[in-house]
Amino acid sequence: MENNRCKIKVKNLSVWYKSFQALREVSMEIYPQSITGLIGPSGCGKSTFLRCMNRLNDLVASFRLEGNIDIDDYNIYKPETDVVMIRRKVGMVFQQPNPFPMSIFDNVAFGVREHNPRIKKGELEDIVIDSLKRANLWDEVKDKLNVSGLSLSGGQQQRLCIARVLAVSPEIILLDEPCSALDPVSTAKIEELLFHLKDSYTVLVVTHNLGQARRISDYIGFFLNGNLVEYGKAADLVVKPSEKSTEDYLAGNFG
Amino acid sequence: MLGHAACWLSGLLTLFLLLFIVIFLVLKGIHVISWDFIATNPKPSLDQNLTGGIFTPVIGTFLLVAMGTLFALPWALATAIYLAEYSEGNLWVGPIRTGIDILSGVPTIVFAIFGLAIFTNPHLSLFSTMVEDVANAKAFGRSFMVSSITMAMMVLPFIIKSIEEAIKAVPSAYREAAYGMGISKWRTIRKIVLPSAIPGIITGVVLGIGRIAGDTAIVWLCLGGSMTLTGTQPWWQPQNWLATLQNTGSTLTTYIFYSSPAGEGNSPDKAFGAGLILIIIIFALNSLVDYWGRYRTLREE
Repeated sequence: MENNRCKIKVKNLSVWYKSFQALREVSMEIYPQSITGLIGPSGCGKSTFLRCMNRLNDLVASFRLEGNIDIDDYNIYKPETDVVMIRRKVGMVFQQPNPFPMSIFDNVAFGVREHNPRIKKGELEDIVIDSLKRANLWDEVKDKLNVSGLSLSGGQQQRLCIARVLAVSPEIILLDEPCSALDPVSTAKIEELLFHLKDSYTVLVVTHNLGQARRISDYIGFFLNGNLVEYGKAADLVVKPSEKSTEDYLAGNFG
Repeated sequence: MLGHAACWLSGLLTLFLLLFIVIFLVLKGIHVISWDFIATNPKPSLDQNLTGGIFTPVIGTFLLVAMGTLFALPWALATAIYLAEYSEGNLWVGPIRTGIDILSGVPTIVFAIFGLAIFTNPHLSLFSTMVEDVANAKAFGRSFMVSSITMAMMVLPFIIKSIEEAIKAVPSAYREAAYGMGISKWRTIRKIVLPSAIPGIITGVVLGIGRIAGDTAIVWLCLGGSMTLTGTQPWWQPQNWLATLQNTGSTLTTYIFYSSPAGEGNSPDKAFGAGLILIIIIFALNSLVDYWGRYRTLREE
């Protein structure tokens, strides 16, 4: 594949929680301006893999990792790496919408203010509005920016969480089953949104939903028991998987 | 069936116990309560009718509650944050937790005698003017400052525990969301975790307020037996505030003690009146802080 322009380069990544090995020598190259879908049954390691990209697994005490993850040719697991800086560059959206218990405006403004405490009011407002627009939420909330983020519906909350991430201008966006708690209409809105986002960002989506993976992904990686079984262009992988287990999974024989 | 009835009866009995205490206090004390009773200073007299009111003890109670909370809260907050957020895997957690548990079981009279002993040290005369000007004879280092610091030590374990519980109860999803945006752990605690924990922090403060307002041993030993405020008069003028804090006084609890026959006093009716006022004050403070907490959370949602 297009070797020289990959955004994230994962090499021989193995992960353990205590003695349990969650990932086994995974190597993968992830490309910018595209959506990479990560699929596989529960417990296959796809979420663990995603959480390695922004070092969120560091929070787990028993977590241990071997191998390399280079983002823009910089190994983010170097001991001297500033984890906070990495996470600014790599935003994350979670399975359960988790807006902060504050107003819609403050939810989006929070990260911006934290990273740039002296930002001017007008400038901040511009960023908040722009982020809400890019998250396709602006029209629904423009009259109630001072209302608590928790008052929104699940789908709106999830788009608020996406707006919140966009506001701090990351380069990579990780989404961990972002639609699994949402209804089909909200899901469709988020999928459409992701489709637009890939023009400007590198997007990684963990999903349980094969249909979703097929609809939005440019590349798909199939995980099983901590191994990356198959990885390739979405169209190829879905139509003619080269591994038997991928074929079985896609056929719905297990999941 | 019998067990069920016994449990229900016990519950009912508890309610009656409270009602009994309150009704008893009301019957015995209500007739002394008047605006004059609350707004006049106590006066020394053998005749109950001439012993004046409870103004300075009420002020003393409020002073101790405010100062004690002021000293205890930042300390407890910092300790609770450490225990809830930073202590994982640290060698010191075990001893610290055991220490807090033991501290919460120490009788307040022990805190009192400890505070008295420490603050009688001439190097700490900043906290109590009683220690000053003493050539050979040692006077006890008593004052509002000494009492509040001792009170703070006494309520510390209770406030720490309730704040720690409150911090741990904040959904980890909030923390993950903040970390995921590149917010440092400290800023996440400051801006996300603590604001969400405010109701629990308030519970801790209310707990502390009740304990401080109700404690007698520490007041008895560390604040002494003078019913009025002994600092420079008039005590309510700002330039005399420091002197008031460095000197002694009383609270409602010691007033009750010294007015009752048990404490050599001869004003049992006024003791009951003061007891009633104390219960009302504690109840009012609790409701006020509770209401403020609810109002805050309500406004945020």
